[in-house]
Amino acid sequence: MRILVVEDEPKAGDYIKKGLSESGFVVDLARTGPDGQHLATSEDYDLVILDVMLPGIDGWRVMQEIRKTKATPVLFLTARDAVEDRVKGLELGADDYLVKPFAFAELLARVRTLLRRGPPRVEEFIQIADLEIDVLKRRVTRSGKRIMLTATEFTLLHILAVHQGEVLSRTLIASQVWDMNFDSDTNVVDVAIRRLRAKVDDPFPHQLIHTARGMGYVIEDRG
Amino acid sequence: MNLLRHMSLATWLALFFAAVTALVFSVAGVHLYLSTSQQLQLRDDAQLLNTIGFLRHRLGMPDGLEMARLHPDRLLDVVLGQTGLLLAIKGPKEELLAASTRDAMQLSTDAPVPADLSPDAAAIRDWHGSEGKRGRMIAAWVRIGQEPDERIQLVMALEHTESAIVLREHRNHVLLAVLTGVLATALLGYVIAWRGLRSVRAVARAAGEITANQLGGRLRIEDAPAELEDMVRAFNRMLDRLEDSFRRLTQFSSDIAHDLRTPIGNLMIQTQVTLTQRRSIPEYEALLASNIEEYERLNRMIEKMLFLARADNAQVALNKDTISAAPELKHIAEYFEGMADEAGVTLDVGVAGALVADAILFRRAVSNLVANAIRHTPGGGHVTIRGHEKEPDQFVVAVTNPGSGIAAEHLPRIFDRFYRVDDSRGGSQSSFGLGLAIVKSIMTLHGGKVGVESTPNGLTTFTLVFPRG
Repeated sequence: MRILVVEDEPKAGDYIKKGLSESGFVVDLARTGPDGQHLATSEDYDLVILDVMLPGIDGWRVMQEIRKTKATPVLFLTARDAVEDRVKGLELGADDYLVKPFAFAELLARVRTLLRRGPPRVEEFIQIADLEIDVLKRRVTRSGKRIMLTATEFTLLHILAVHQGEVLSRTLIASQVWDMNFDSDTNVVDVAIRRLRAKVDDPFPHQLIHTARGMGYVIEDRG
Repeated sequence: MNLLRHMSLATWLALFFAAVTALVFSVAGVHLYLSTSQQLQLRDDAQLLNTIGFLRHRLGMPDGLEMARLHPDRLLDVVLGQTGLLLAIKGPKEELLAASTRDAMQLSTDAPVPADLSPDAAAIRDWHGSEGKRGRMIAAWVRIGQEPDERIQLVMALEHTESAIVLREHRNHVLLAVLTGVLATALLGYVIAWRGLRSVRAVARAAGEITANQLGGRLRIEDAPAELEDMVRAFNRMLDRLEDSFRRLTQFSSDIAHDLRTPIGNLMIQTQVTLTQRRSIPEYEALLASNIEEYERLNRMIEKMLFLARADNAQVALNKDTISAAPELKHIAEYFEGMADEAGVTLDVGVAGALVADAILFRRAVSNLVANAIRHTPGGGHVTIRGHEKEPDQFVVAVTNPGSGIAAEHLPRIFDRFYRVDDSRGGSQSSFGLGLAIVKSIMTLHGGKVGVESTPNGLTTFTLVFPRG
């Protein structure tokens, strides 16, 4: 999967490139508007990550140029989270946006969603090590033992499982599980994870739900 | 127009006074002039009637016939001593018998008073002589014998010379009086207005001395004239509000600086200490993770300050919608269930009705109150969340928790930014004292109200009042 990152801020550009490369993507980095426009229109990328404030040609213009010839998905980054900005980006044909500063885990999650193409597959059955989730029946078993979860706990486990191996930020979890799209200054997510762990992990020798310190939570089989 | 608007008040008043004086004096002057001129004409007419009466009387005497026939010029003696009086004496066929002057020879009229009537004011006509001479005239037949042709006609005119001089002098006096009066009132008006406005200038000077550094200064009400008292009072009230806002702003800036310094201090010290020597990889990892926590803290704080700043400038777009309160508040309670459970607190929701609000902001406001309530409730306590329609046009949400309560002195300031009841700066889980400020901002955006009641060691209730629509 090839991704083009157009970002003029040197540190941010380098680390986005590094992070995405380490997550298994092939990444090109352009530091100016004209470079970005040239690469985006002449090469074939699966996704373009575009900063709005760019020297030379701004992100909006670059996006218009890309849309003249290509349907490459575009994720734009903006420091201004004014509503008009978002609306403008989406109207110009962007597929998603992120407001700076953002968590890298958040960026990665958006990138993966955009690259999944088409509606996300709803898996009816998910297995992680000895944990089995029957999504339709909402039944969870581990090592063959039935685990009783509340509705909220099931939703939380399901979201982690759908994104297994990906770190999910607290903000993302709060937004996906409870539809809380703002920072509530509470440890609600941590409490919910702790309670889920008490049922899913604590009675068993291997831990599946891991804390990525400073990032969020991830479910994966680490052997 | 522009010129008028920029003219000084004193000049304007002076001109106004002058105009009023000119008007009043002119009206009075014209009136005086007209009445004087009328008086003079009456006097002239009376003189004419007197003279002609005297002549008729004279001719009515036994020698009247003889005098008229033989010495008509003697009759002229009557008018000789009287300036401007002309007399012509005509025979029965209106032939001229005698005339006092050349002008008198031209005197004639088409309507002499018949001999059997006595002349009165109605018979007097205006007279126009040669060389523009003007005056009044009268003509009358005088019977001097029994025969029809024994009569003579007296034609008399009185030139206006004397009264014209009197009138002209009178007019000049009036004009002079008007001019002097106008000038005098303009000048006096200007001086009075200028002196009267001295207090306005004093107020302006005092206002000019109040600067950002000396917002404490106030205008003295006792120095202001009665008319300016209201203005001075309003001005002082405005200064009070300004000073309060300014003080809050200054406080806000210093609070921001203080709250920014805490995470930055943490970042600096932990990073510098770690860098003083080589560390193991887990130690570096721990440092970076700890740094991220501080960054997130900074980020959350900035997000909140941005939200408040935007709400202040009304830049937050409201997506108002009708919200069914029960599912919404139950959803919020569900969100906090785990947190409450761990704190040994139970949540109790009792709601009915619907309200109109921005769904996300409504959730944010209520969540802030519920999170606060759970934090301050001792283990085993109940937090109650109530929502109901009050009156037809209001919806009230009340969040109540038991606990130590909030002291009365804190209540008025509890919605201020960065205001904390306890001075210890909270950890990363706190709202930096911005949580309630955000609640207040959200309510202001909705045109609603926020309130708080608290009894020490009793119940504390925060209420949100949403207007309908």
